[in-house]
Amino acid sequence: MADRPTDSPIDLKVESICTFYGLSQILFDVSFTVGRGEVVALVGRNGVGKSTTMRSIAGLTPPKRGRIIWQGKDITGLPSHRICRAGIGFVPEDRRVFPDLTVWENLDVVWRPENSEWTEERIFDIFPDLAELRHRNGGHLSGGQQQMLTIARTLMTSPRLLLLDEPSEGLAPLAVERMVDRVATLKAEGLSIVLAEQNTDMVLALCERMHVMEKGVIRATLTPEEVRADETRLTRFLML
Amino acid sequence: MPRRHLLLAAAVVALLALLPLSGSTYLLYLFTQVLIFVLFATSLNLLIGYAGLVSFGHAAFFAIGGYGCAILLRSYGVPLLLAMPAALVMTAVFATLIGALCVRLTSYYFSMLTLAFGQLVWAVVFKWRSMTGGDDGFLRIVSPSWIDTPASFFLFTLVLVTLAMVALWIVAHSPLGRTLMAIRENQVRAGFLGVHTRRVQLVAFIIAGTFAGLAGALFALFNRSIFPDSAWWLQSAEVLIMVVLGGMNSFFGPAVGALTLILLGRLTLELTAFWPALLAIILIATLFFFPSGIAGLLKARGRR
Repeated sequence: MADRPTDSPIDLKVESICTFYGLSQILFDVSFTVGRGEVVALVGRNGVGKSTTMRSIAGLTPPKRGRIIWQGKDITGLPSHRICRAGIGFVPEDRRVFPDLTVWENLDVVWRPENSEWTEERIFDIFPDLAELRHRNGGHLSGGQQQMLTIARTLMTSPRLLLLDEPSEGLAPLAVERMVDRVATLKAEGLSIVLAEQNTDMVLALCERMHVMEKGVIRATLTPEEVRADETRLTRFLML
Repeated sequence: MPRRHLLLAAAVVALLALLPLSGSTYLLYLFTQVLIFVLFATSLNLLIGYAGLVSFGHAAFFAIGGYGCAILLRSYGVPLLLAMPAALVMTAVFATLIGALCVRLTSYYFSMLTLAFGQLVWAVVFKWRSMTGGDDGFLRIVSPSWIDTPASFFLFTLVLVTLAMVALWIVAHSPLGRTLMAIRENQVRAGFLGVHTRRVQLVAFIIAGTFAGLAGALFALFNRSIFPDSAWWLQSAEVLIMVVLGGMNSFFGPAVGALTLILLGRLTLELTAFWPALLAIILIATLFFFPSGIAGLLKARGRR
């Protein structure tokens, strides 16, 4: 799959990965790149392989074939904690916080002194709602608050690249708007982001380009401008 | 809430320090035993309550600490103040070796593996007659004169157990304790948040094993003898029952469980020969009616 040339240096290179769950193949030669500070979206209906792509990059379901290159180093098959420490933060869609730990403890538990780019204070600047809830147990937060906390918790690991899996799923429209704002803030902070999302408005508002996935392959690569000019180019794939 | 617990604990320690004034040897012996098992049960709870690792072989480290200290004292004539730390180092080394293998597995497999290693330690102790005395036990352990009386040994135990409990409390409430809880709640998630989950669990395993070794060393000195039973799986089960009975979701729960179980054992022994049956009923009742143990029950009362 041809990728659009970009100006920024390429940080993540996914090279024809094939991922399996047991015997069934989920991803077929998926390739794309993410430049520094870019937001790249994976779009498509449920079950097309967006989450599996993310899990493959994060080291949870390593690909059987293909390579994942991060800042020039091959990270294919590394254990997930090493990938995290290398600077790739994964925010899965099930937004499971540690329910028995408070908001502050949820953040503190993943903080490491050698990687202290983010502090609780800086996190609370971006997510002021969490600051007020810092002593509340994670299990007692609303869905939107838990989603913010899972993102905040991943930020505490000081990632250079965020893998955001369906951040708007199940959120009220107002919470989705707020989420778009927060992700835009993170982009402005210089983070690269891979965003898997079904909410087209959110994708169009944030991304540099989107890869449309279908049955485990990337069918098309579009820019927001192309989609705005002719929405059927995107809906054609999503309606199939 | 935790601060109140600490104040209460400090008051209990202060009260216990006055116990020798009672002049009752029976009480001193009883509470020396309670203190040893308070430490043993609390060390196990670092694994069960905080790390979510249910060990069925924790007695192995109790026995290694006990035999290690006893053998160094009697067979090699090492002074106590050296023998005890050396025994703890030995326990830590064994905990590292056994733990490194056990934490590679999770849930039931972890439990089965700890059980297997526990029995292995028992078998070695049982068969290595020339070193351990085998089935006859390792007898005539002589303590130095300064802890030779019931009162002085009780105070010695009180000081060591208090220090050890403080250390365990700090561990449980440190970032390490919180990381253990995070791993317990979701190991995969903790992993991709950058936590080297096995290493953290191994550290907890070593700490828990070493403190069990301290309890074992005190136990051997207290009884002036130690037997292979101390490594047998029933010993692991007994301390597990203390943890469950007292409440594994609370730092001081296992201490309450140890106290309750030992006192109940003593009382019923005087009244009836059916202690094991009664113990079974207590355990069943605990699991059905207050699964979070005595501490959980007290907490619920306090909230009401």
